[in-house]
Amino acid sequence: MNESQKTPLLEIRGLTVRFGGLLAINELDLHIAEGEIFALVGPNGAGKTTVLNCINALIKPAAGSIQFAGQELLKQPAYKRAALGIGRTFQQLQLFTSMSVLDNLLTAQHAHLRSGLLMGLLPFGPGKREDARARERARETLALLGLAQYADRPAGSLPFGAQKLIGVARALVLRPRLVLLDEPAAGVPPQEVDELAASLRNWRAELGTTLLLIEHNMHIVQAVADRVCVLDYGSKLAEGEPKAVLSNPAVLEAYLGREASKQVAQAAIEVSQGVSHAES
Amino acid sequence: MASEQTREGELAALDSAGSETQRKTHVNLGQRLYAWRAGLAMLAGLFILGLIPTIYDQIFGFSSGFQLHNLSMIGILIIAALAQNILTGYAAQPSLGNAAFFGVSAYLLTWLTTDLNQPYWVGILLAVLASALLGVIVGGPALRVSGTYLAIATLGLVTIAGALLNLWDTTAGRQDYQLNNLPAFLGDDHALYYFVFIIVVILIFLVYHLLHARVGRAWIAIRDNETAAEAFGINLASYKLQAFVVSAVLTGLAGALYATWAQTASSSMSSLDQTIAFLAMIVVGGLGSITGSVLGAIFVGFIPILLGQLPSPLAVGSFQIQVSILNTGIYGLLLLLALIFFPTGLSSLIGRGGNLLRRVGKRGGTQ
Repeated sequence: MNESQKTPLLEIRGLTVRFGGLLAINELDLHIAEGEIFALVGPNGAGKTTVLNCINALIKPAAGSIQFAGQELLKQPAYKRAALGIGRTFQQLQLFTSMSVLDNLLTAQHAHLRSGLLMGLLPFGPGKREDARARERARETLALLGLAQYADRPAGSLPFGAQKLIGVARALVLRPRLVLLDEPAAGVPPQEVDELAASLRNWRAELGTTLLLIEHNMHIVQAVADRVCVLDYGSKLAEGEPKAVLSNPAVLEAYLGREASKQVAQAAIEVSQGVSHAES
Repeated sequence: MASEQTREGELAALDSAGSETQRKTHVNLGQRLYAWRAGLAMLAGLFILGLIPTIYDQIFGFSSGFQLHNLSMIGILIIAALAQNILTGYAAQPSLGNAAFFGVSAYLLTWLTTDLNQPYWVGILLAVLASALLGVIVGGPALRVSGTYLAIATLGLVTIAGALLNLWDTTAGRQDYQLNNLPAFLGDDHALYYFVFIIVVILIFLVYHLLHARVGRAWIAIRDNETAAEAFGINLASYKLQAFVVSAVLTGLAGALYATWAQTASSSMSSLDQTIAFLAMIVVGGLGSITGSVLGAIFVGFIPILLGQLPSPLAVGSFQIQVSILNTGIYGLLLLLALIFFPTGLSSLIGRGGNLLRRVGKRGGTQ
């Protein structure tokens, strides 16, 4: 695969973020091609979520540029970026807990709906028609993820696993070109991880969505990612195809320390072989 | 009519069938009534609202201490409670500034009609428009701060507005600011009652739809999770300001109606006491609930009426208590008790009642 040679959908250049005196991200360059599944990995505190937050404008970087589909994102205010086609899930879910699941997905379509104050006062008219279409899209997305039975339940009352998937549904409902997934496998029971990996590939296939995911679960990363970038202390440690990158001694060292990395290197290679067997 | 006939036809056809079918019909009817509960409750409510003046005439006559006039005041409070609840219960902005709009709007209406001899309707329209404008002017800077800071800043606004209105009264050398030039029919308690409650019903209808539309969802999203709201394209500053302006417009209308009701404007309308009354309504009634706004306004509105039944000054032992000053104390106490024992407000009681009904209904259905 030569994704890196296609015109990139997301192009991050020289991204630098400082929190006070701490250099959280240092001159980071990333290129993600349309239709690619790109994984961002690294030890805790490496700055992975910070990268996503910069794309979402939850954090303002000190320097750098983020081009999305040829547009400079950093010049756009936060609320305009969803409309460009960027969906997002959060590590801490961040659902609208008091709303029903369906209303969560309606709210997520805010950027694509038009009705304002005056239209909203009316019990009929374009506002209601547009809402009906949005509701239809929401139900389709819930059905796609097998969540249809939860539609009318308050989002905050559901079990964690379901809430996690609703976060994904909320990110996908607008059919964004790019979805940012912050640790989709965290808290997912081990026996369901394979299922999640299959779903990630399905979404890409069915919706043509580009995925940028942060993940600690290397099994998922190896199974789904086209390319991986390893961050450590805000800098890029390695980038490339998962198997090569994850057996890179520098990467193992960053994760595990020098001694343990030697012992695990062998095991990691075995795991990757196991995955490739499972795939073929 | 047509649908009713077909329904009766269905029922007749089912009646002629066996007893098993009959029981099914019973369940279907119950289920249908349940499905229409909102509509039925609304119709019943409207019916009762319409009948209240007649009942009042039958029971109390015109000499009673219980006055229809006071019910109109509760209607006005419902509008103010809706306004505060949109801003605080839905959009989660703890603004205490609504009393300022309440007072300023009342003075504007009185000034326009009494001093400038404008027609009442022009006065009320301009008072509401001015509230919207003031909402934009004040809301813009106020909403840059959040939480406690917003509460304190807006409370300052109330105090300043109250002081300025008081100063105006003093420099103009008047004891009370009489509202003249009212349309004749508003002098009649029955007409005033219908006038106020028609407005209340229309506003509840409009607000209900607004809260279930894109704008209302954006407000609730801001309340539930600002981070996610912003990531999904909600312009926080714009929607907070919209909530502020809608709230100012409704409060301004309530203030103008209150001046109409009292036929006078007073600087105490923009005061800490008024702010506490508004807060007590939504906290006691239920934050983020239209039903809660209505119940809270009724509850809080009845307290001065009930206290008005007491002789004033009230003698407790050797103390003489001015009954009117008890109001705010009781509101404060209610606020405290509600926050401790009833953080979800009176409206949650109705929700619990509904759950009970549903459970009973389900049990009936599975038999």
